[in-house]
Amino acid sequence: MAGLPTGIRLRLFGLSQGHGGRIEEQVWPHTPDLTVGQLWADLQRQADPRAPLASLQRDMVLALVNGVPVQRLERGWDATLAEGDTVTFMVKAFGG
Amino acid sequence: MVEAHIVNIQINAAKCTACKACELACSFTKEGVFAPSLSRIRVMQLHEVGMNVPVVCVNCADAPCIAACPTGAVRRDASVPVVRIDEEECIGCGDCVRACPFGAADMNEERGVAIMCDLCDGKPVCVDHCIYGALSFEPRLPTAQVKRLAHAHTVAAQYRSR
Amino acid sequence: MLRDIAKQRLLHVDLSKGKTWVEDVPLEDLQKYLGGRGLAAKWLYEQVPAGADPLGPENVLIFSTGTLTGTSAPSSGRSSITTKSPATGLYLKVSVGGHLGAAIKYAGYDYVMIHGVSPKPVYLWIDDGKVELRSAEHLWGKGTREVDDLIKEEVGDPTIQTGIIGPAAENKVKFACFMVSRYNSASRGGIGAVFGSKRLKAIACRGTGGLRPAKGKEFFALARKVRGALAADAGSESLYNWGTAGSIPGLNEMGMLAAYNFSRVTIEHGERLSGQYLLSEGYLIGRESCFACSTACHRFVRSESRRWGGVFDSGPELETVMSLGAECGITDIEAVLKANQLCNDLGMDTISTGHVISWAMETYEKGLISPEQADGLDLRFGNAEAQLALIQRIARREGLLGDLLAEGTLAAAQEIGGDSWKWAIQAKGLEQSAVDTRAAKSYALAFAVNPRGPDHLMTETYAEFGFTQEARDVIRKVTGDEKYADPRLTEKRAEIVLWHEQCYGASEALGFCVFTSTAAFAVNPENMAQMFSLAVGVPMSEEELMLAARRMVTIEKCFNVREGARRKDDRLPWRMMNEPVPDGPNKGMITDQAMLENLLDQYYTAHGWDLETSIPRQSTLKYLGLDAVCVGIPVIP
Repeated sequence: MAGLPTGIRLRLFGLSQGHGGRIEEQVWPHTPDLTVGQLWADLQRQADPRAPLASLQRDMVLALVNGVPVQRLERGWDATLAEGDTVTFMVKAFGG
Repeated sequence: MVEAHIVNIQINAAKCTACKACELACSFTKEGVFAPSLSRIRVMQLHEVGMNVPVVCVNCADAPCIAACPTGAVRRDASVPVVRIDEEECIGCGDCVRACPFGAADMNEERGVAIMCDLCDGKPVCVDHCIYGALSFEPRLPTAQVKRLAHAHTVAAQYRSR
Repeated sequence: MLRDIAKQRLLHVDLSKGKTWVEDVPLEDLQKYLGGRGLAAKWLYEQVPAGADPLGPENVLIFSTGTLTGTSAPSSGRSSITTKSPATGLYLKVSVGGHLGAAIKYAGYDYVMIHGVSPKPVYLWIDDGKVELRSAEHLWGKGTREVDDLIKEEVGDPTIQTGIIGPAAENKVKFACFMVSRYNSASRGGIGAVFGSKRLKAIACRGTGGLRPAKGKEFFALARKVRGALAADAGSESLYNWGTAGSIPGLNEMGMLAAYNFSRVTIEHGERLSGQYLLSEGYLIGRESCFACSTACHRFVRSESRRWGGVFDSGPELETVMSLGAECGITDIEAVLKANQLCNDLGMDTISTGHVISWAMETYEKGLISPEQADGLDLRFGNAEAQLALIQRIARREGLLGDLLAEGTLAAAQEIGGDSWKWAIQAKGLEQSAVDTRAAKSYALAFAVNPRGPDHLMTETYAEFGFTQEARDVIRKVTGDEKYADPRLTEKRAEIVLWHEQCYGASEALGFCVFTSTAAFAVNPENMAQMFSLAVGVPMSEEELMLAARRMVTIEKCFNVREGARRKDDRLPWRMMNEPVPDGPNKGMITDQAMLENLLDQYYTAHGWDLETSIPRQSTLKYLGLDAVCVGIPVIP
């Protein structure tokens, strides 16, 4: 399927400095056996040290794979990702 | 480090949410009841501008309440640099309340005495109850030289991160 | 006046006769019903006869402070207002924050019960022990903010606390609200219309007294400990940072954001309605607490919109941005801020206002409301200009449509006819709050059995999502296993709903914000019982506290039963039961009639209510000590 963008569609919210209220989208290269947890760890490693992303504890992250919270996936954070998946990371918010 | 002359509760009004936990903690500690009207610290809610400003004794260097008191009940002892009211000597005339430019002194009508913040012997309970960081208390305020140094570090960090 | 917390006082105000008097509340009643919402439910049952007109002289308004309101217990400053709802004809309790409750407490009263109808517009001025009814003829017709200024000027003290209705309530709009402390809204069920029908424009209060807990030092220490725990809770932190509207982006990504009158579950650029967006784009200018609160989810915002004009206001809350925003297809936050301000000033519930308009928009797009019937407004989804115009017309009952929509979605759908009732997102006559109940089964059950109609503000079962360890702990405690922290399951939903119902009841009777006990979890039945006991000076266990809360839930149910409500009335809006989630990860999910019946069976069984009719059994009433209270309903052994 040459020509079509491949990889993981990544949606980040509230994780970078100064863009707390905007969705930031990027395409992340898909590698075999890439898990949600691994993707998160990779993102954190590359993050600007001043951004909320860098220091956020994992239990404060709302992680969704195609809109489904990781807690509801059979393997949780260890779930493997497939080409074309949409992964969302944002800081958990409560109430209302 | 040179000790500062002024000892009082530091207020960051931008962080005050008008929860009034300070008033409750103060009135309970000082009077045994939950009664904002008897609190030594009061929060003014400025609804029209969406700001809240805590008001408490600032320990004026030249304190009008001390000058106004006819019995000498309001005084600052040499050992503790804090304006305080000696309730035994207070006759409840209200002169200090009228003299204070900030409204930081008030009357306890029921007991017939004036009330004013005494900093809870160096551990103000209002500060302990303020979870928003609007109130803080450092009995020894940093000198200007210490503040200059802290500021210099901030500036340096900005240059280094470029 | 300094008084013991245990010595509760009820101020009666008879508007017809212009009389006021004070009644002492027996300590055993306080123990049995916990005060606040609990005692108010009992009094409403006793005071308002079956079939009474909600907007007539027989209805009463009971303003109740929480039993711990005015103390240092964290987030304990909320009040309830209890009455018979003009929207549903059933029981109504509305909870509200702000500082009015504490002021009334310090003035020397725990409750204010308003009887009758005043011959002329008045406001109630409570100045400590001095209570008077003052003319409000010069205030009639004016917006809530202007009236707040005028009353403060009139009594010569800008630091007093007020509760005020706007023009919408005077016009008996069925979802008019009561604005407390200028920026907090007692919103649902048309509470404001009851004030309007009584010609009571406002309650203003200056309280300078104080409260004495029975075991002061222990109470003070425990309250401080709980305050610290609450401040450290992740839920509180999030509510402080972004307010309730912080939940928007997550809901949108998970396909749970009610949009376009519930016909969709996501909206493009939904994040522009979020608390995070308000913060990062510079609209947020400050955070505000209700009395004694350790969360401060309330906020001040400012917008200098060229198109919609300047706004300075509180909020907007999650439900406001969903109802006035996403549900109407609007993601222009500046327009939503304007709509919110209009609703606050005119005195209308933003949830019902948004939903009656989103219903009208769908009906217009489907051709059942003609352009003529819309009085020239182009009511397509996303038209913020039309929405703002309609808000004003509803409040003033201007034009055909404005007057019709002022009666609420149910009445409007009956009038317009066709299939429009199918997308009238209401049950019992109340517009559902913008929570999708199709993919969360405890929510669905809780909404269906909610005595005031389908919303999240009597029993929100947030823990069923299991987003935090604390939430999962609650689910384990209630059901025996953490695995039930899954909103798609139907098992154990009754247990989850009952626990939350009781936790809400106890929290509200004591004055606690339910965010402290069911969104954050630092306030819990155990420490609530301890705080009650130390403040009032009588023993109270966690079990007794929850039993007392069950008692209030049962009285509320009996009130509705006496009005004729039965099992068939415990239902969800048609769309929620018949149109599956259209897209997103929950696509195809539904809580249909059969599933709801199963959930209701579980729920009535757990309560000891009759399965066929849902009427509480006599044996249940006896067990709760309510057989002498809940009289006048069919007796089922």
